Amino acid sequence: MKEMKAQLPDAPRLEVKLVQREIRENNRWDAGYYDHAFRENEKLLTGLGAVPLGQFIPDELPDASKGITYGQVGERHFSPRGAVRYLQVINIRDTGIDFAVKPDRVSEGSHNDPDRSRVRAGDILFTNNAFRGTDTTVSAWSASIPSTSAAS
Amino acid sequence: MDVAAPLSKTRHKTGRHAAESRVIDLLALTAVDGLGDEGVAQVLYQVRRCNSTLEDFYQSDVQRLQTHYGLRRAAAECVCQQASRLRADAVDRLERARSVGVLALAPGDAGYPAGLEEFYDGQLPLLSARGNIELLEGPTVAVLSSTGTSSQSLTNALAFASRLAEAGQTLVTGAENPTYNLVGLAGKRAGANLIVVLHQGLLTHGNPDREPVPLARHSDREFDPQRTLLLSPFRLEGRWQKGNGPRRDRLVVALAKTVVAMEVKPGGVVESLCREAIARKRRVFVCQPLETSGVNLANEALIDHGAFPLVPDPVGSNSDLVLKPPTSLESVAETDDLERRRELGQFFTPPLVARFMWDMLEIIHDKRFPKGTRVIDPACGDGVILRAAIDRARLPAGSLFGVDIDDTLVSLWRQDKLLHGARLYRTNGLVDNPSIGIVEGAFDVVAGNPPFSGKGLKEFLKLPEDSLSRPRAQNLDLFGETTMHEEAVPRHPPLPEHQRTVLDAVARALSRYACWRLGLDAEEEEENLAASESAPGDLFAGLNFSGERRVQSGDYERMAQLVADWPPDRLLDTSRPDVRDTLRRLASTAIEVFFTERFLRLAKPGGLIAVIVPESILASDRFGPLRKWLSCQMDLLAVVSLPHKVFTGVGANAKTSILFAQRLLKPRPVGWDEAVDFNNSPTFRGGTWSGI
Repeated sequence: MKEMKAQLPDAPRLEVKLVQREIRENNRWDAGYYDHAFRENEKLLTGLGAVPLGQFIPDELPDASKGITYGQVGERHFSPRGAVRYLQVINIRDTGIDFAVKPDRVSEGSHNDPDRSRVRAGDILFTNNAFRGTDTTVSAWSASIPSTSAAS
Repeated sequence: MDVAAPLSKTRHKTGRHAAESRVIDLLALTAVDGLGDEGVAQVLYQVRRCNSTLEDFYQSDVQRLQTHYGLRRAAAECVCQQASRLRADAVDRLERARSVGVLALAPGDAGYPAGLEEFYDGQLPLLSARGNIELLEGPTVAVLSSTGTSSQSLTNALAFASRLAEAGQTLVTGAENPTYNLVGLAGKRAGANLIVVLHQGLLTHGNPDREPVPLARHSDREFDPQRTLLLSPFRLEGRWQKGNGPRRDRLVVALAKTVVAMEVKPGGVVESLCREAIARKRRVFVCQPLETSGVNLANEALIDHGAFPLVPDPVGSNSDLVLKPPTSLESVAETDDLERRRELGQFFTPPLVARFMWDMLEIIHDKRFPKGTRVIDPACGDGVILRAAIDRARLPAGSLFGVDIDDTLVSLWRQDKLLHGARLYRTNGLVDNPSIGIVEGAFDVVAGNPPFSGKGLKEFLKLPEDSLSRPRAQNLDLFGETTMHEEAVPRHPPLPEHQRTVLDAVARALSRYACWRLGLDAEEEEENLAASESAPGDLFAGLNFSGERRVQSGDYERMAQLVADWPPDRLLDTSRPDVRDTLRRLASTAIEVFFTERFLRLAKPGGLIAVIVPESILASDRFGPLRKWLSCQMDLLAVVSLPHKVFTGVGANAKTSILFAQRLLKPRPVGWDEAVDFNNSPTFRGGTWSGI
């Protein structure tokens, strides 16, 4: 193929791979899947017994609970004067958590603020639709922000 | 009343008698030989301008009538010599008019329509009216077209008028040309208010109880004096004559606060009236020319002149633009906020990425695209990918098509000099519209960045909910007792009829897509309910199936067939569980999934596709069946992973890729790839694969 003239941000080189056989085998069309590092990480996680969250949660728990939910429950209802910051994927930036983009709040104790979603210092936050490099950990910043709930 | 008394004797009368004398004077004026309707308007103008009265007019001598009121000598002599006869005749006509409920409305009268002055340079016509004159005070819309309009345009006019009537607008129309006739019929069908301007006198109209709209007469409609106002700018017994049509049209436009023009012939009355209406700051909407009309129209010129473009179709989808508040269509800057764009799932493509897409397309094509290459971006946003087609791929604007549902973009497109000549339409990019040439399989290149996780499709949820909010026939058991039912509580107010019709048409169009019925079962739906609100790119979007049976994946084909077979002239019956399930399923399918299929469908067999998609389309297990289906319809040529910062500047954090593909000349059977030995190093060059 011809050399690419156009350059994208953060993409100084364009790597071209022919992966027809692999596509047929895996039915994955995302280019990153065929990156060597991705495959290595996948192998590593599989070796550790990691499975998608949906598979991890059993149908019935020992305490007879019906299951574990993650993320938001019900319709989002923001309250501009709510006491709880509402953390969303878009707030997770390269530089950490940034509420400047969507500074939404929810009412304390509302259905958008279940206990299990309150983040605490030391939590590791994963998004359910993410890309490498932007998952985040919660450090001591919560001391200056009274409370924060997280969307999945 | 002494009808033989000189007209001037009415001077000292007061109250009811004075008013009646004035009406008689007016009617007498319309019977003056050689004066004509325009002459009457001139006299009334002069009376008002000089703060005078009709009594002064009738007391004037021949010379004054000529010099001051502009009458010809014969007319002036008639006034002076036959005033008593004129008055006696006027009294007779007044009696006849009153017997059928006709009123005379003179400029300055309390009921005379406001806002006519600017269309008549002050020389306002004497009007006769029958029906509800209060209709003049509400929101009024005229839908009109030049004579000789195409049948397709007539269909579209009926659709627009129907949606506007259903939305509670008062339609202003005529009665005797095909477009007016259909507009009148639309108003009658919808039970809407109708102002009908006649092209002859009200007493010439015939039986006063006869329905004025000819097409409505055929369907046994009757004249409804509460919902109809007949108006005529002509003398009571005036018959149709040449020149009446343009005067009727002028009154139609002058009475309308909003004008919708369908097909406008250059140099004609309708074009002239539209230009006047634009100049006078009336709201004027003009349909973009039909692809198939082949007729020289003034529509584009009017749009360039300041009219707002409308996309015509047989459903009247763009009627929502006419119904919007005037200010909402004026400024992009004020409404171009991030939150609104997020609602629409709209994140504009950086120009660098757009140019890269065209570079890649040329590399795949292995040569420059010829000038006649038909290109479409079915979710074109500000047009950045089409601009790149012009400045990077050197394609002429005339072969570029762009569609977007966001009306605030229209003024942006019109300001863009590079896009001048491109065919840009504010309409739903997921739905075909043959009127404007946007149909499946018609484009050499389909390139774009469709919306991700927009909420547009959730509108479908209003359709099934709407049936809950409508009154239902009571179910009676054998003993006549009313059966108790626990009804779900609707989350929305009842859907207005005009919105319901448009949504119904979109639902039918989308039910023909394959993506929503591809091996996706209901268990997945429930599993994903919780995550759907917060997860961009997820397939499912917060449905509530509680209380209703679970849909099995095998039902979807049957559902699609049900909708396909539904009679086109009847709305889908949303009280039926299978129809409700279909609508819910459509609503739960992410908009980017529909658009991915749409890109494929728009391409000609052999046509190229370049589409920016979220990672979920390419990687998610949930979309595995979609990818399998796509691979039977197209050759996947390349996937270029975009850095995550590409859209962060516009508020989106989604991981995206550009998918390049070529639509197959003929779809492959399922399982085609199992027979292919991919180890033989197939290559792709010049638009074709070798080695497969």
